[in-house]
Amino acid sequence: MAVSFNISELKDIADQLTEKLNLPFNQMTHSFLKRRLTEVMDKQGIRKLEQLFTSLDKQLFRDDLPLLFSVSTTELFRDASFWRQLRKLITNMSSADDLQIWLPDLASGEELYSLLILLDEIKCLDGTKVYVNHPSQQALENVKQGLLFARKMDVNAYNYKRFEGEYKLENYYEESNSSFVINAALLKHVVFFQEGMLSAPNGKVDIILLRNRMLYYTKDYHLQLKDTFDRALKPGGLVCLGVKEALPEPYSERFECIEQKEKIYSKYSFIKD
Amino acid sequence: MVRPKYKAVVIGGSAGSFSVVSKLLAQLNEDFPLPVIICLHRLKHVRSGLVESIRLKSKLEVIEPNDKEKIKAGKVYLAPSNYHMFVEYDGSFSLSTEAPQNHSRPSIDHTLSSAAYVYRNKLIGIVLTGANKDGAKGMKDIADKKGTTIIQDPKTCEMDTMPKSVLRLIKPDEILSPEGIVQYLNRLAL
Repeated sequence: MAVSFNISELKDIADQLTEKLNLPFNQMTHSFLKRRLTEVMDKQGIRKLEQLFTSLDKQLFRDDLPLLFSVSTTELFRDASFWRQLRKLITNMSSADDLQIWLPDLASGEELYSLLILLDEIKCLDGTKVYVNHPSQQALENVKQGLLFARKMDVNAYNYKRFEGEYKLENYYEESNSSFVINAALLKHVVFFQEGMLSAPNGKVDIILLRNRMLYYTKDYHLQLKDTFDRALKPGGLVCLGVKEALPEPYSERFECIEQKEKIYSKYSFIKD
Repeated sequence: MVRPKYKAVVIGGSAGSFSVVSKLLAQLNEDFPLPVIICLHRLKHVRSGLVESIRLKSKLEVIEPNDKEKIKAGKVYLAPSNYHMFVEYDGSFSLSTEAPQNHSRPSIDHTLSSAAYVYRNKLIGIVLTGANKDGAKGMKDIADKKGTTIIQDPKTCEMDTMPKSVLRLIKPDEILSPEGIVQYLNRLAL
């Protein structure tokens, strides 16, 4: 029988996790926190809240939590129309052959691999540096491995076709013994660093790609993220969110939404930081 | 002031449910006083079309909510394609791209269970026609929180697996035809 929580217990757990791990558990939405806690406790055989609090004193358990609370399920070229639009925008950027791109809080590789394939096809990969961070070292290692799930290869191929890619998706991965691994050469352009979502790379970036990764956090935290992105972004830079997300208001003094359907925002180019 | 008996209606459906939902929304009174939260199994790569089709006949405004959108009375909310949709304590929606549940994203269980947790005994949960068991656990959660549970009469379903899966877990408060569901809901507006 799964443990159930009332709202004050959830808040208490979130505060303790935040304090012990220095990560924003207290800024997660209630439904997400409750769902993931239930899963974690089920997996670990924890039946009582007291047991959970005792487990938090164990370093190994604490190390696992950022991965257990990350969302890794996605697919290559999810929302193909977004990727077509991004390709068009990058092609028209004056800095297209010298891009700095940041993917914060990335727990699985598909968004990154899609971006690298896109950049390769428009011949912009060589001059580009892509920054990827996540609080879990294990999550970063998983992304570095470049593994694609066999069960998702059909949908990946279907999405790539809708993206209207130049070649065949098979050109970008190696298959052996039913494993599919993205070409290692693509990943040479990526810098990985183990940090939370509010830690931007050194130097300003041209594009922040954060699709569907703010969904699990509160509106208050979205405001903090917006400020972080504003500081990290060059004037004229892009913030790409998921198609059902929005940059929190107010933003119109610093950003404009240049693609309403795909939720792409641009920091005004006239802003001098 | 008398507190309203209910705060929301949540509906789940799969195969065959589009026409039932269309009919239901065409016949719900314009002044229907509750939010209607709908989760239907749908094609994951087709982002538009369903909400537009449902809007055609509905007297109430039909919205595919963005993440963190506030839930308002008298509006109809449809779970977006390829996202799970949850109800939050602060009266807003949150969306998710987590793994499919019962092979489905959006998952009816997820929407129903989160609504049960927030609205408790002030929720009406309805499961319509469908070809898998998604929604049954959510309806059990609604029943456990003393909400009101209604299933479409399996005899009137194009596919009866979904309402019958509910019957395996709970005894619903009502088993109604689509017309019966409309009449039941419209009586709430009186």
